[in-house]
Amino acid sequence: MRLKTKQKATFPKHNKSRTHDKAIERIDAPAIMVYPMSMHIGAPAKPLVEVGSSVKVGTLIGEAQGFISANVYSSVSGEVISIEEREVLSGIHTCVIVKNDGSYVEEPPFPEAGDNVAPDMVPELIRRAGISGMGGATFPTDVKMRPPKDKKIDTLILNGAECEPYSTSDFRTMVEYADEIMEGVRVIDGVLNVDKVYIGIEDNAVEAGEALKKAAKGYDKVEIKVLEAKYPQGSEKQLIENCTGRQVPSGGLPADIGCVVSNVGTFQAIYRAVRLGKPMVERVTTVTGTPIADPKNLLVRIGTPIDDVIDICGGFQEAPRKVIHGGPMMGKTIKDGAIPISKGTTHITFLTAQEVDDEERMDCIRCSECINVCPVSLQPILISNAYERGDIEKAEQLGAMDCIECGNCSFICPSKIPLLDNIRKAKTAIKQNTKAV
Amino acid sequence: MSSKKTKTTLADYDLVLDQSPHIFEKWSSQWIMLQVIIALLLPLAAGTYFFGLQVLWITGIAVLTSVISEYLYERLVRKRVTITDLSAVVTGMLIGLSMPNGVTWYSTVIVSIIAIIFIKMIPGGIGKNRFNPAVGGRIIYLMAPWIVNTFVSGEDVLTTASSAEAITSATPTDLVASATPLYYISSGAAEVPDGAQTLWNLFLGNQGGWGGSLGETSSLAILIAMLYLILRRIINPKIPALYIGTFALIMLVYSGFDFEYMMYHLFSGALLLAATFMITDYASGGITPMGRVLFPIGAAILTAAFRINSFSPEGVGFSILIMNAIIPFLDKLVMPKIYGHKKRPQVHSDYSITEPLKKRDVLTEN
Repeated sequence: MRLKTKQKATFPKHNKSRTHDKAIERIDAPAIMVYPMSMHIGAPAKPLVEVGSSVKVGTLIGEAQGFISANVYSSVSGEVISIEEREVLSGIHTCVIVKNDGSYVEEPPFPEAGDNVAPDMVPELIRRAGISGMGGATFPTDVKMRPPKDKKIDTLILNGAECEPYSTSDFRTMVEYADEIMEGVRVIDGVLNVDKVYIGIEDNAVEAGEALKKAAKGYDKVEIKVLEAKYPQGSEKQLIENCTGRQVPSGGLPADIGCVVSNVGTFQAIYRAVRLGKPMVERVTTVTGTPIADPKNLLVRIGTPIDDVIDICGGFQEAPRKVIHGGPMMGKTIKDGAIPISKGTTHITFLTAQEVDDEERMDCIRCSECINVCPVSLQPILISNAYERGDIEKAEQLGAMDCIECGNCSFICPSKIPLLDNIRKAKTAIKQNTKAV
Repeated sequence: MSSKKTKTTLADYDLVLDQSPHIFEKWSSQWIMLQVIIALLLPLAAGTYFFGLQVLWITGIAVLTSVISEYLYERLVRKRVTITDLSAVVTGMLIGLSMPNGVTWYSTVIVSIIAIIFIKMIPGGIGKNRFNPAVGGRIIYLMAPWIVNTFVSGEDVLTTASSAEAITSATPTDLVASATPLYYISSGAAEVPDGAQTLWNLFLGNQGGWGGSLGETSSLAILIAMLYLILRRIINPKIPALYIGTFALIMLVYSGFDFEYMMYHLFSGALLLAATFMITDYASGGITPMGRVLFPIGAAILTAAFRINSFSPEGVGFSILIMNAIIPFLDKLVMPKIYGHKKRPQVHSDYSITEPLKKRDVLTEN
């Protein structure tokens, strides 16, 4: 049954048909691999290797620093040829560059892993494996699985609502690895002991729902929620509300209302870490868009530079104008093909010059569409105006800090006002003000 | 293979860096205005059919004057010329279609200039006008005789003569306000008097050549235009539905559930034209979801009050202007509750989005 949600949303073209039916294809790693020490939210990892060190698949090359951080592993075997500062997705960070010897010699699995892992050990293994959220936000997963003692978690939510246009990596993962995902759910359920497991998917991913249902047979806690395909259906806060009717309090976390949410792919990674003892060294990424001759869903070794997947996908049939890490609604544009596919690379979207239409900004006609599509019920035009007039206090009163930066307001604006840009700037200004006080 | 292709790299392409989102809905403010113009062609055609070519002529003059006024004003104050957004064309068409049968060209010109310059441009131009220019122009036109009498001849018609007759008798024929058949059923009458047009004729627009203003004569044409705008997603069907629904309900109750009486009110005067093109105006309506519910309901209550009990049978224009004036305050009271908050946001400064953008140039540079 498809669940109609009252959540305010937009309906960008899905553009998923290019790769919807293409099975995940495992690809070889190139000769040079790049491992940024910061592929996650939180403190960057500290490099443990030196130039000349030899590494294997699964060698720890970067160690997590502090509570919110994640380990980094080599995904190939070979030799460290350089450790340098490079501009990557999250800014300028230390990167370990490895020359791949092509033999893929593996480190032994984590000795504690297996079919009977004590609940206390599970978050330890997740942390050791360097798992961070695979839906794009890259929050270290072990932190979510260690909720504060005073907070009873009763609901586990798997986010399979892949609402970003063009992406099919979650969809293919659900279809092809449903059993591994469900095993990951059982592992986490053993730790959190939840009453209910929801899996949220969109109604354009029916096969995924069927595969998961089959994998969850006899596991009564699991309920699959088929949600209307609209943007941003996969936003964490909205998914929680659509599944449980609860709202995360402003400035709070899902744990505050008894929920833990993670991307479906993350549960597969958890399964691999806890049951098989494997660190996070690969992920599924969709490489797609009009310029790409043969769009694909790839199983990529993390650290593969983006330049090295283009020819695998047939090269360009049209010149790209924008290369987006992620999707067109929230993704980040890149120019440098040496930037690697990392833990949070759900897809890489290539757009042609025609698809990148920069229309001239016009005056607001007060159509109030931005207000009608804001999933957190902000009034984007008012925040944008307050910011442009320099009234940061008013931007804050209007709830700028509650913005989830989904991009709906800028997307819908018929006058092409850069609403989200202004709200982002307002947020930065508010943060600076708070620091100054 | 001997002819191995060289590796494709991003460095070989001219790429742009930009903030998300990277795709946009395929529409524009100009396109929206164009849809409204297309919809307005229907009442224009119906008006021309029933009143003759003067409708085209008057509407043409109103459009031309509106566009030229906006252009000249913007050149004069050295602002970006915005006539290509087509909103002045929409205002002009609405003014033309709001004029009564037999209106002179110079009255039309004056009304258009006042509407564009004083009601639209001086408050800041498109989107910043608190009052609907077309409605404002129409009301100024309607009030002209009263203004002239009061301030020029020093005679207050409102106190010297009794209500509706004062306006009609004190004005030259071409300045008589729009809704003539409506005159028969207003002023307190709770039933349809003898001699009124048949409902069917009212609906089609055949009012004997003297009913309603130029564009509002055919309810049928306006309803088709409304349907077009709804299907194009230009207007939210909730707004006209709430306006017409609330008004119809009040009229039904007032007349002791006389369905025919209610229908006469619906199909006469500016009611449907306003429901389609004026209540739904973006700039002068509500912007919050609740504000967009309160605006049509409030306007409907006022319209009914004016029609049942007032000096002018045409309360639609006044109702809209009153709602235009108070909607920013209502909007502020009913701001949507932000996700994860228990209370509505509290904004301590001015709420309206019509404030001038003082520091805009400074801020957009960095």
